Amino acid sequence: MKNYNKIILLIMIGFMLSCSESFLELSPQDSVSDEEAITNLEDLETSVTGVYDEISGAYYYGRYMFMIPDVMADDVKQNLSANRIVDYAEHVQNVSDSQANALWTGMYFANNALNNIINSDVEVTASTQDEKDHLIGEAYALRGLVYFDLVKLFAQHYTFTADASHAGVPIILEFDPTLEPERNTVKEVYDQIISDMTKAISLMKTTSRSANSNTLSSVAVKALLSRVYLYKEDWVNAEAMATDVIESGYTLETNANYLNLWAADNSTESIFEIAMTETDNVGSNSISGLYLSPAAGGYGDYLPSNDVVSLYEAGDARLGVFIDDPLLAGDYAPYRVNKYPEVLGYDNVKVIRLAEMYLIRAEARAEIGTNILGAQQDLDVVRQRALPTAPTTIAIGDALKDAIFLERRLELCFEGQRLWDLMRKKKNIVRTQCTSSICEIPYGDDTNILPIPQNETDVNPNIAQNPGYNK
Amino acid sequence: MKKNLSNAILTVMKVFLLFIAIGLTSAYANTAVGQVKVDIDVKSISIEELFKEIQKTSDYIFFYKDDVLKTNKKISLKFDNAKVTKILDEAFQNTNLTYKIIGKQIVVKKNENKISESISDEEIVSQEKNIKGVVADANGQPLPGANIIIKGTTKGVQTDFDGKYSIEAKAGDILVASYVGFITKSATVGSSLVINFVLNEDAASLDEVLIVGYGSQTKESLTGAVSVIKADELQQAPTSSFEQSLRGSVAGIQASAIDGAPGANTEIRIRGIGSINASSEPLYVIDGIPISAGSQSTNDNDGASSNVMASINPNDIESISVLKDAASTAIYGSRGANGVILITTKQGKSGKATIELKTLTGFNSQASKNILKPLNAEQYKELYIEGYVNKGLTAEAAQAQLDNLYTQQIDPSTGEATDTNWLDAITRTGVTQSYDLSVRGATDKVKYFMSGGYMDQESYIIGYGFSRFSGRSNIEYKVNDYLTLSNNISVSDITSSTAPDGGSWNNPFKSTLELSPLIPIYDEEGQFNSEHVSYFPIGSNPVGSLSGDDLWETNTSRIIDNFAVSINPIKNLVFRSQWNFDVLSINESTYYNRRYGSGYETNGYAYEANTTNKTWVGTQTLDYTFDFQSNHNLNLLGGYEAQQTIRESFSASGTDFPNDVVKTLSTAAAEYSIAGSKSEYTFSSMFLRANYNFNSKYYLSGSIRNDGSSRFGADNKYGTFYSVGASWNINKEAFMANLSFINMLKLRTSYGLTGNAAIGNFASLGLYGYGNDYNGSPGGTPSQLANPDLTWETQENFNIGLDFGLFKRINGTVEYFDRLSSDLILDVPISPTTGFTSLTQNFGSMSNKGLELTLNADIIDKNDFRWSLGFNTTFIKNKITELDEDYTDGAYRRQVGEDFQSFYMYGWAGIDQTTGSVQYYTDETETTITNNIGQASRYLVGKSATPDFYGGFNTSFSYKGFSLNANFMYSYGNYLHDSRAVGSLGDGRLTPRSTATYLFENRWVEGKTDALFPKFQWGGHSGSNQANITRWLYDGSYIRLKDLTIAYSVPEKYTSLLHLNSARIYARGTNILTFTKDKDLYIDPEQAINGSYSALTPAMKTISVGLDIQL
Repeated sequence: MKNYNKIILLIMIGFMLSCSESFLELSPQDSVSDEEAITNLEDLETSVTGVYDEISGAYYYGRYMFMIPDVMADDVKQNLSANRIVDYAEHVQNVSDSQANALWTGMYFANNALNNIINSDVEVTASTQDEKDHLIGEAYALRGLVYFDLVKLFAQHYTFTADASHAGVPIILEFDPTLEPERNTVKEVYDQIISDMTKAISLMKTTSRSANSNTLSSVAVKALLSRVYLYKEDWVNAEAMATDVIESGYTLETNANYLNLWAADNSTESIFEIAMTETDNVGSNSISGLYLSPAAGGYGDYLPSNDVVSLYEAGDARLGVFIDDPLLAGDYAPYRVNKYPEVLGYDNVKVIRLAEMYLIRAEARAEIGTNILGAQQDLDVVRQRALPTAPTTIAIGDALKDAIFLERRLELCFEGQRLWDLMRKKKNIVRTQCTSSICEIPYGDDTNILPIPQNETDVNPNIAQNPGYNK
Repeated sequence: MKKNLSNAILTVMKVFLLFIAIGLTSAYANTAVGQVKVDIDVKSISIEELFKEIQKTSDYIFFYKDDVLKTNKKISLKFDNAKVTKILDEAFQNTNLTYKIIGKQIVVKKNENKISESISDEEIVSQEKNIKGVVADANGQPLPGANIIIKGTTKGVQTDFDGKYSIEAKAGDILVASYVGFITKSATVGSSLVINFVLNEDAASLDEVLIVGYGSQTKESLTGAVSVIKADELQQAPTSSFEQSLRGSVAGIQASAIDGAPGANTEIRIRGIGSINASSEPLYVIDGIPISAGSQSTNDNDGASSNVMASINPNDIESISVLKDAASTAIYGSRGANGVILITTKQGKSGKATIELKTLTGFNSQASKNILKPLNAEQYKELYIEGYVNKGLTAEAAQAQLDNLYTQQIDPSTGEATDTNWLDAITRTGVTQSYDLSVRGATDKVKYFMSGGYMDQESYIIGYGFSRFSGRSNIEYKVNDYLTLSNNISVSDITSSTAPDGGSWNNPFKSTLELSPLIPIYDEEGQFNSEHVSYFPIGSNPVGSLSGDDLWETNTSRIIDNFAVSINPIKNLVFRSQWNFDVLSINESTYYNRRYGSGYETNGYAYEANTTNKTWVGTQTLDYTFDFQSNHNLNLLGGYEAQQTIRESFSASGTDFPNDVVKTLSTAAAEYSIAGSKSEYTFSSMFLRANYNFNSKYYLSGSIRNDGSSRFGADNKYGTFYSVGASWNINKEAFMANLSFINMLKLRTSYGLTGNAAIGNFASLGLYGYGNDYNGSPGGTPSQLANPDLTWETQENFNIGLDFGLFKRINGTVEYFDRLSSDLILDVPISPTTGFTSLTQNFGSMSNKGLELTLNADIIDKNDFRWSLGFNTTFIKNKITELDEDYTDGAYRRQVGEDFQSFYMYGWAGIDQTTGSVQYYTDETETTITNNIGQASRYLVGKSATPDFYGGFNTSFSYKGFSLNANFMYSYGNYLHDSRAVGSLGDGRLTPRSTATYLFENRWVEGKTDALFPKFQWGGHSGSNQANITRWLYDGSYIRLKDLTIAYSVPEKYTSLLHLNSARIYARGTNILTFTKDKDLYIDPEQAINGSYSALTPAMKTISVGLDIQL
């Protein structure tokens, strides 16, 4: 009898005690509190890496940052079976478009992660101050890059209005979940980009953390900045930045090895490229997936237009990036793009490379007009690398500018640049070999930029929609 | 404030429990005996009065003939805790009475030796004879312990273990047979010496005992809304999970077997949808333990073909209680808001062991005949050419396209042009087999139920299958009068194989419509055709894939153990300590072959995952019934419960295989990828419940529960939930005495507050997440916004119901409910420029109001012939009552004042029958038409996925050994949205995918004036890629004959020859008939409750035959 009493008492006391507070205090196993996330150098590095990962996704550099502007322009034609982003190819994208939303959301997600790094307060020792500066510098540079991409996609180009006072994108530099920001002007956005990249250059080392082009160095940031200046038509600074990069030790792939530029990772002329590894890649959601034929395992949604292929002279090494596909017929024949040869999505995505630096400097010099010879020589570096037999450029004035513009098309096609080149040169999009229902889109057309996504306009009464897009 | 109150209540509850604990130990010390002892203190009463006194204070019942007590002896006795034998021995001194105690019955007789001289002549004339017989239920099961009483006397006997009785009665006496839960029957003694009784179950019986949360109650005492599904509705259903049997079964429950693949989930909503973003699934409780339900695997095949509830053998279930209102669910506190499904497994039954063997064989095919059919070669070629001609190509150029790219192939097996019907090629008649052996019985000390079951089900799709081995042992051991131990353990192992559903390339139904019929299934070498260029969407071959070239297998092992100690130290007090373990282990294996399909590019691909989900629950309860020796009755229950659930999963994949024979990860050469996760949650709860009644006429109940959970935000850790309920048995009132046709009339009502804690494990925390690796380095980014206030969703629930029984033939319930869910978890959209797209908050509210009707009638009830009807329906109105901001969610608009599932779409204005182009309304006025969807805007189309009403009805006939049962389910006024139509019926949007004959036959061609589809052109039309158009919305009203059973019970004279207790053979049809209101509906009407068709496997029809025998 006594024993029963004791047993029951023990059970009772036992379960009273088990009701302790700590039983209910659990924390997740695969995350940490946001307040404790950035406390030391290692956390900074992890956080910067997280942003690179974000921009490597299929909805950013992994695929659509290149593919959307390219299908909107004139180098690319739709295949019969084109399905993905066909609204952009047809210039009928709308406010509920999921790609526009994913780009917008992803870019601001990256921006917030970068603000989190830039605004963090990590104490380090003197011996590691350099490392910290470099990481913070990378965050500034990446923020500049994100805003540059945002303003290209969602706003008209810098010179659309005389003082760039037309609507850009909201600049957010501090985290605040209650924000309902207005759009800053394009000028303000460019100023922020230039400020961020300049700050980055001052903080960063000339070699990247990864010792290759998969992460940024100060030189790589200069390359990006020279493109920003070019788009802004700040020729002097564009030339200066390009010169710094050209003189920093990168070398162009040889004519013989031209295709190596696309087949291999981290070539000698690569300045910044997004890493895709065997275990971490975009898989079939890659640029190659949209270009390669079903026979090669791709979707084959898009093809190179003869508009661009026919511009190459015979013997141009760059013709090697087009492959014949006998299964294509009619207007769809005969080529496929092979700049992205790995169908499994392992291709590193080349964001910026040395050849473009020569072309930027050539264009800047031609525009400034004081170093025409330099401009001609820069152009020839690129041209004769591809076609060694090409004659030395003697054109001047507008003819030189046209030659540079043509070379940009030949060199940089399918690298997500053509649309911006057409826009900043205030040219119409003209598709001669056209498989779309729309073959000419005038300069300044509303459909040349993306709508502000409905998910933003629905919750943010202060944001203005781009013209031509209804609610 | 909320927290302070909660803490205060928590403290009070702790003190209360401690008080009980101390009180218990002291009370226990004072008491040495169990129930068999009686207190008695009487002065100068008759023997009859003494018997009544003993009956009142104990469980004993006296049986005696009227004339036995003809004695004037007055008795005065005073005993404390005396054995009843001692009292009777004392009382019967100096009388000619003797007694015999049989169980709880005390049979009092005259001592024959002393009274023989008093038998009169008259008594010899109407001499008593010995009547014998058997009392059994409608299925022929003997009913041990049934009472046989001679009407107008108190003389009676009880049946033995075999249901047999024998009683002395005179001709003309009326024997009344009664048994708890059955309709009482009577028979007049005639010349026959054998009178058998067949008792039918009485659904309206107020004595019926129902399982409720943490206990059981008689139907009479219930204040809440509880519906019960009995074992016989669950036995041997040829479905993998018992949940499918809940469809249309009781009022208030909306159950839809959304996926016809074997082993798939059934979606269940009790009284509507109570949440927007948290779960609306009910809580599942088996033998007192909350258990894991739904899909627990890492990959549910892009659909729902993974259901851990399929691990429970339906034949082991004794009953299922569906708890619907606050009075019944508030005892589950923060988990009760969506209703509770209580599953009680079979326990041992007193009586000799019965051994049952059940077998079933069934044949499976597709339930709905009206699904989309693929094109044949001729149609495909015609459409192909037409698609290009309509795009502007010449017929020759179009033909050249076809010849060049998608040319007609020669079938190597016949040498003729291929005309593959992919749908025929992937379908078959599947076979279901089920075997179940169980034994059930009890001795004085031990009650036992044991079973072993095996079920194997082949789907009508090749390669799809499900098998389950299960074993169960439920043992209860009564150590002594005050200590009982019990252990219920079940072990099961299920294996299911289904391809991914929905939009997956591997969804066979999707493939059958999109593959060209011009390509053969086999190549020249007799292998499955792996010709990869352009023909197949990503080169799949569903026939080969399902024939074993690819592999999708999920293996689930589950052990549920439930150990309990019950201590009954003093009369009316029960302490119960129950410990439960639910261990789930799920192994998933996927393999994609190297030759074609998803594994082609990587030279084979394998994925393996293991998930374990462990839950323990400890429940301690004290139950005390106050006995006021009067008309007052009060029962109190207090308890403490703690739960911890830990889920861990690990998965890995690899590519590049040496051949298609070895498929394990160790044979993969490249691209290893691994992932793992671990997550847990805890609950700690206290609860109290009080049930009071006066005179079995007026009932009051109240419950309160305090829940703390790891899921709730730091500022809202504890919540308190409660209910109050009352009921009134009107027909026990004196004024009802004249209305004898009303045999039951009961009004009950309840109100209470419950919660929904299914909000995710760490939803309140601000988090930084990892796994954002780049270039081989670990990366992390902000992943979740903090909201320390985030907590359970609350629900106020009001219920009022009237139960009635008329003419002893008809019974029913009318019930009104009003659920108001508030503090709903909303992902309130915020500007994406912040870096996040939403902030999770407790904000919105939603109301579900409705009316439930249940009616059962025994229309004919003769001895041999019986016909009954049953009917239930639920009318429901759902309305969002509060939102931060109206928003669009896929095909739906979440808008205040509207039904939660209101479709928000572009208005379809049909085909322009002169040009064959598409037409849309520009806005909700539906006045202006445009060909360009870009000029149209979406609007609320006034249609919703929520039915106006739904339910089921059934009828059963029996004649002698034959019986026929039909069960129907129905839904009316709900709409279905085909979100897959843009792929399978895409107006030619997706070159060169094939499509369905429905499109082919109804497309616009020159001269056709009633086209449903536009001119077919590759690339489609404006809006061809837009799923949210009213053209894809269909009336989903339907009636389905979910079960038709014709059975024959073999008469005893034959079964006895085989030494069988009983034998029953039957034929059963499951889902055999389906009627839809919309005759053009080309998808199975039984779809997800949100009305969205996403290409899950259509429902299965099964025709089966079975044999049940009992030894």
